[in-house]
Amino acid sequence: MWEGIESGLATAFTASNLAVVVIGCFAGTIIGMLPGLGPISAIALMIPITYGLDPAAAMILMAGVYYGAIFGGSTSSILINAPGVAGTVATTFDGYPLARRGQAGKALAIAAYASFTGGTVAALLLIFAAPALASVSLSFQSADYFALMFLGLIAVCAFAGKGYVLKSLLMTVFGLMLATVGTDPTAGVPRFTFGQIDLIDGISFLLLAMACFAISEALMTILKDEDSAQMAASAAKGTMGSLLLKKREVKEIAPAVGRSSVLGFFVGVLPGAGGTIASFLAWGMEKGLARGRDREAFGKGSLRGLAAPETANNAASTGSFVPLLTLGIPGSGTTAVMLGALLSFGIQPGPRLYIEEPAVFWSVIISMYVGNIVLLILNLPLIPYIARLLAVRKEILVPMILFFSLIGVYLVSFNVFDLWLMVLVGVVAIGLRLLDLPLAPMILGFILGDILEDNLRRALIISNGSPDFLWARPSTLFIMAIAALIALVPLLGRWRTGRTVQAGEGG
Amino acid sequence: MINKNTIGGLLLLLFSLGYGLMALQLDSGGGLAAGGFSPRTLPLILAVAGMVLSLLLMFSAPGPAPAEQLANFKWRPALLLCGMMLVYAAIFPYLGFVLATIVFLIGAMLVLGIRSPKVLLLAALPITAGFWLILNQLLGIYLAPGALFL
Repeated sequence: MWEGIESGLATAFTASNLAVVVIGCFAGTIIGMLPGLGPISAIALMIPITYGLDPAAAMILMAGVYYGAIFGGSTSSILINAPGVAGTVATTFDGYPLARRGQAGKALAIAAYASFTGGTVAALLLIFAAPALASVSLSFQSADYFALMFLGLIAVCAFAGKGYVLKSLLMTVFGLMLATVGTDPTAGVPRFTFGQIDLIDGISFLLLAMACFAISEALMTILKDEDSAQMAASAAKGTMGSLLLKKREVKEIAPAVGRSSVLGFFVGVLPGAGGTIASFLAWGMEKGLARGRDREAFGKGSLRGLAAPETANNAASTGSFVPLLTLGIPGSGTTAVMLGALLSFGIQPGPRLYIEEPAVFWSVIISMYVGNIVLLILNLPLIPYIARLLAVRKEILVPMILFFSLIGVYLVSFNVFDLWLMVLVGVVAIGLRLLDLPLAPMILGFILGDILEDNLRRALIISNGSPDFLWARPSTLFIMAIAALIALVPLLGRWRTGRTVQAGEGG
Repeated sequence: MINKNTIGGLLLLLFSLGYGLMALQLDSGGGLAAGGFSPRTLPLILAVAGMVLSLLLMFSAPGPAPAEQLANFKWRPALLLCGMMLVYAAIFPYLGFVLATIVFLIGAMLVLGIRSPKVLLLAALPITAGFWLILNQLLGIYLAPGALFL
């Protein structure tokens, strides 16, 4: 392990890769701050650029962008009460009231310090958890991998939230269907290509990601006529207040940050759970633990109430890299996009990545830590200025986003057909959004589709077509049992709600 | 009553049906269908799963009525932007990167209500030129000139 860490350190600390982290964090912060654009869009927009880099630098760039985008999302949550993504919604509860009291600087500083600590603790836990999980999964066979993919897809749906479980399942199936477009890898049979030669290789992952996130989000901004540029400008011109924290304030938030770091990491490791659940859980946990006046301050500008979700969100983001790097299973929409990018580099994340590409594996983990430091020492002091840059009108910004998305996809294939298809997919994505159908499970299904089919085919060949491969090996059975348990989570939630309602009516 | 879940469920049911019918016509892979697995096995499983889940969604708890939300949307500029993207795709092979991009950016900003020629040119020209320079000079990516200039 230590040789791997050394080689990762050597890779991460080259001048060019350090520059890549800085650029990534900076670009991520700016994109993440823009209304409607979250980490998924930020990473999707970066993918065309990563094709000019080596795999390690590409992953480092994406990790930097990921962190930057999360921090950018927190900034817009605090400054203008506009969380770019669900993961920073809990940040607005106490962050925005603090900003309104003229303590925006302090709120941003707490967000940065809390994110830094959460990221640091999680990165340390990742260093030990990832190799352990990778060594266990070395003995995995096709049946186990199929079960793992199944677990990942089920988990994403089970944790989708009230009212979204069925929709997520449906969208996962839709994503898996889209993944079957193109030539079947074993028999060489073209499937669902409508005789179009441009579809022989299937739908490009980048095209789908860009159309579903960057293009549809930009168009949704126009549809909804959202304009937070003016608010951002006024927030930036207004008083930021001091960025420094008092000793008493540090003491107040320190235990919350510690608890939320561990909680966030473990929630992040669960496939499908991610930063949103972690941040809400951490906020709820701290509120539950608070007493008297402290408790009353929650939702009105409590420092603990801001620090907890920020810490947990960042720790969960790091935690979500554990299943991605060790099992090759993305735990969230963002890591799904990263998996797609890795696959296009010819790198298959999973236990073998740890052995065959230790430099990539460890440099990504180390870069996450470097990304945290960059955010703290570079981005934080620059926030007032970055926020001013964001006063660019959406009438200029949206055409730019559309252009970057279109040209990003074109530069990979140099095929104009992809531009036509992208507009079509973008329009379909808007329709799905308007119908409240979530797109992240669809992307996850699309990315896992090929690997899932490949492992299912192998498992069936080994078992002579019998479905007993699902329970023949203890490891497969164990994973399928966890999947079954996770599938019960929404039912359990419904049962508990029913009991509460009954108790309420009875009492 | 028609709501988002019924519309979404119905559309995805129709999609799954079409997908399933097409899957039935797929070549079963002949002798390669080892382990009972052929190129149409997974598509057929997915089609059935899609149909079942769509039906469940259609008859699940009603979602919000779509009309309330949609009435306040700005459809015209969004549709025109989609049109501009299609125009970009159409003119790209003929005009080449530089001219097509300038036309797209200026057109998209006009659609969104920017009328000042100064703003239009100051936003479109530097971005296009900068991008072209980065691609051609820095990254060495060859962008073919438009067919009209060949």
